[in-house]
Amino acid sequence: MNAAVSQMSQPVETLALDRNGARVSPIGSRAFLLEATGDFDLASQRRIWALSRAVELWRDVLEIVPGMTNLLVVLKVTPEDPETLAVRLLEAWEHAESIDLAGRTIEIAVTYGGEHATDLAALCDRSGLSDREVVRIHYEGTYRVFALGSAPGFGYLHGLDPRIYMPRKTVPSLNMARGCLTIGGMQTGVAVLTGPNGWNSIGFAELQMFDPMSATPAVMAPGDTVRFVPASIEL
Amino acid sequence: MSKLDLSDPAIIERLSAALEVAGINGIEITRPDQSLLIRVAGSADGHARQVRSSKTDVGGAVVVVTAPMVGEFWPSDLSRTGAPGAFAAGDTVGFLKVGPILLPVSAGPSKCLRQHLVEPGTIVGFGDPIAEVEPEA
Amino acid sequence: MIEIIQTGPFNTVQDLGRPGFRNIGVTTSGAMDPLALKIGNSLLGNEAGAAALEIQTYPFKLRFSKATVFVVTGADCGASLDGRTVQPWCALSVEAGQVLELGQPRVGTRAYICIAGGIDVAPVMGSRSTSLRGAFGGREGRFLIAGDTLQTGEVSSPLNLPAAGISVVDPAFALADVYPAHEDGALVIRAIPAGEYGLFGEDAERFWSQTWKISTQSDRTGYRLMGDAIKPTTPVEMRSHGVVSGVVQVPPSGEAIIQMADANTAGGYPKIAGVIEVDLWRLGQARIGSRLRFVRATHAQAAEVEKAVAAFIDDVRRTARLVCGALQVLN
Repeated sequence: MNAAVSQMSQPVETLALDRNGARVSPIGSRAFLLEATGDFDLASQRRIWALSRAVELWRDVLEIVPGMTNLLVVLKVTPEDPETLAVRLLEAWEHAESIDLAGRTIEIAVTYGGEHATDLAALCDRSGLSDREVVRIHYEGTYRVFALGSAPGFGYLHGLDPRIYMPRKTVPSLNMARGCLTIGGMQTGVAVLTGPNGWNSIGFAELQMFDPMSATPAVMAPGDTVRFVPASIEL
Repeated sequence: MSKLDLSDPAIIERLSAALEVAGINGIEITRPDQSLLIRVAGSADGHARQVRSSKTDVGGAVVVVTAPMVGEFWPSDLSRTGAPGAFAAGDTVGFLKVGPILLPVSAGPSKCLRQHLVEPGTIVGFGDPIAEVEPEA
Repeated sequence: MIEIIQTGPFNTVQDLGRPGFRNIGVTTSGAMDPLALKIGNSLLGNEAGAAALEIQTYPFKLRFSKATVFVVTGADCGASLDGRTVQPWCALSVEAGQVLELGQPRVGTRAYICIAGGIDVAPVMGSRSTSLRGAFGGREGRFLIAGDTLQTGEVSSPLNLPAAGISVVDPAFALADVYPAHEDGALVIRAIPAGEYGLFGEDAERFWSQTWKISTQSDRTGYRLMGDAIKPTTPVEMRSHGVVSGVVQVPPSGEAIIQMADANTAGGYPKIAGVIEVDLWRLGQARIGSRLRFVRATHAQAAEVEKAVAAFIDDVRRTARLVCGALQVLN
């Protein structure tokens, strides 16, 4: 029998290197996640952007996926020695100078409240704020696109006021509409696909976020600034 | 006078032995319904023999199917069960395995398998008899 | 060209997927059994990643509008051509007008119909794979329906197949040395502990020791597993991060989910493990209701299997051409 089969049942140490404000752990055999362990803030994200620029040039890298103060690196082939790769990533992190991405400013017209704001009442209960206050706090914010992901063109927005943080739902909504303005934990964003969604909806925006036939399919890009403009408030 | 069955292993053996004794290094017999090719080549460890016998279908006769190329003979397609099982489906009498490739060997139109002439796993050469087929009942 | 005569839902055009766009939220998609796709294409002399039809609901029937060469790989679904049995993994020549039919699978769940030159739909973002969630790629971003016609690509150097065709040794048999056998009827899937493994405390052991059942809420997006709940010792609210197919996440219910080819590109549930890349095809062939068990693997083991699989695929491509060439000379 081949070694790859016969050795399988032996215990294996978990790889998770943690140093200098970052942690690297594997997802399967070819992907590695570097997470900045410090605050969830723009400073951390700027270093992630810098790290992304450096790592995407590595020859053994198939693709990189910047997340919220983290970076997923997918390799072309499985490395035999994952620790070497993890150390390389941590060193690149240590050398990553903060950069800022000169993004565009995108204004998104929103209907706050109304039929799509299925979770506004729960957010009021949790925060102790009135629906008017919740809405005002949300549209007065200035948000940065930290990363895109989950669904085509979906932008994870940073800059949510901690007073209206709201954890993801334990039981996701089964059929949330595309365009719902949502809050997931300390993040906010506009749903780009109709379907199951664990975030909390407080309004609706009519904006096509993605066109697969376009040279730049996604409307948002990391670094963009986003403002929500209340087109109507239906409370 | 009844004609010799050129696909009969006993006949081939007798012919081959006769050739070797006579020091003749080959013979080829072609008839409308059958053909036989025997080549005998001297080598360091004795005599090597190449035999090619084929039989075309005339009136319900048993026909020998020969290997179309070099390969390892398997009666089944080495499927997921891992055990070479019963005869392959349809008009296939078996397979020649060449590395990861299996070459199905066909019984020919309207024929079915009578018997295999080699054991599973045997390496056969081009023209080696591997099975006998007969007309479908 | 081919014409779809009969099909169930969720049968799509797939290639090896659309990597490189996870950073804008675009799922990779691609064949759920990439090994079957690569072997089928290699046998035909296509590019390994040429597009094929992924069939997961049956019966399925198509007509070839012109003479070509095809192979059905993956699930063994008792295929027939004009009523005559077609062995799985066996490449055959067909004439214009012949009809290929696939029935309920006897082994596996997803069959791949690979055709010389590949299925030629317009690539979107570098791939012909259908993204059902995004509604683009493949045939108009949707699953196939009866009456669809699909073009096939040009073939640069066609294989001269013998009349009875040529087959590939079933990879489940050929690669038995590098894949663990079923244990008590459960599929054995190798995985590497992931980032939040340590948070599961004593429950982590139960992740490996128990047998999980693939629930009916399982599809190309992901497999929801049923078993004894495993929970982190303290709840965590994670920052969203990129994920790859094979990641095993644990939502608050405590029942693990394996993300598959059409998964979200990002997630925030704690992840206990990640299935090694070379074992994903076996999950792609696992049936709803069947059972599986996870065993721990190392990167070194995964890399070794990956090499063996790549060598097998290369060998199929090389030997298929060699065999067809030799037959031309000899016969």
